[in-house]
Amino acid sequence: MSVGFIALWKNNQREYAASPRDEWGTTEDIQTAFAMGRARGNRTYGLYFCRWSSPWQYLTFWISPSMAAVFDTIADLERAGDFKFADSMHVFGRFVDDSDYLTDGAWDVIPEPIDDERAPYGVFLMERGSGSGRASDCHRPPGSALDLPSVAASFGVRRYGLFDCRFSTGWDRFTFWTAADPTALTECLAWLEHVNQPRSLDTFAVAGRLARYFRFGNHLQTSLTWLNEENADT
Amino acid sequence: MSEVAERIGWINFWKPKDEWDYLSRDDRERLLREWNAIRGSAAAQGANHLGTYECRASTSWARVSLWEFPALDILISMVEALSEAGYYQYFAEENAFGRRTEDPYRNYIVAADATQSFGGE
Repeated sequence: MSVGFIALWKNNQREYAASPRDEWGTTEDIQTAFAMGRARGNRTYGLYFCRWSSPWQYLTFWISPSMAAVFDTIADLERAGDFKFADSMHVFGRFVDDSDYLTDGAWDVIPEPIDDERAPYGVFLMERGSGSGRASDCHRPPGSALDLPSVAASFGVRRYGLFDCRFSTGWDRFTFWTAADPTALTECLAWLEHVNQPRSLDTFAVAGRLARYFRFGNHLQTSLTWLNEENADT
Repeated sequence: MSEVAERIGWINFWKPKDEWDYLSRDDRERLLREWNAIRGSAAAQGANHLGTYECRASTSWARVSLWEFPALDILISMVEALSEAGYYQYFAEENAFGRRTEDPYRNYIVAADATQSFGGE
């Protein structure tokens, strides 16, 4: 069972007061935990800065082969002390095998910042609706929403799949998209809103811009090549 | 991972939507029977409904049900079946699930030890 995992987090005051040894010792242990996660088959699709769009600071999205791979990695991150410097919100969902919500080959593409180019954007989108409440509607919005693949393609939006999270949250499903610029995301979301308006959908979205470096307290960890590490294992 | 079968805990907050009040008594009784049969099917597969509690005094929800499942698939299948049977048209939910642990503080002892080794106070 493939699963999707979203992490939203924001640093706390302790991060500003941490000693360099605590910062870098913890960071090294966190990187080890991520490497063990990669060995379990987890794939992380970028680090997105989202303080400008949400109550959170960063956003990440994982694809994982199983619930255990996610839980074991979170346990490793707990032991590494990952959660002592931040408050976080996690969303776990089961992949819904519907090609209309998955851009062909998307899971093989790990977004990476490129020098002298504008960083791409990512958006985490959850929704729920009263509708009929039927699973078939949960997985596949009716009517012209089925045209989303062509619309998304026209805007250059890459979609990473649909994930059922009714069992784990107060929401029905979530998805993750990336796009070269925020206008493409905005246009695509506006189109979706127009299509879904009659269904009285409730939505939750967080958008972020791909970050090359992680900000710890007031400084960027420019010596850490987290995203490069992620690509190195592919 | 332990060889012991995993147990999945499920916290299920719920309350009726307005539409529930406008169903006929026959429809309500029929739906409750259908939904209970779905839950019974999960129980037959090893799900354990520990109880349901009134919680309006302390939350924005009406009830909270506590469950334990032998596998995530059984939980997801139950929620899908309830979806297909119209449950979510008439009831709203907020859910959380977790993997059972017999040593809930262990990771935090390790993390605190590591922090002290880095000179943290």
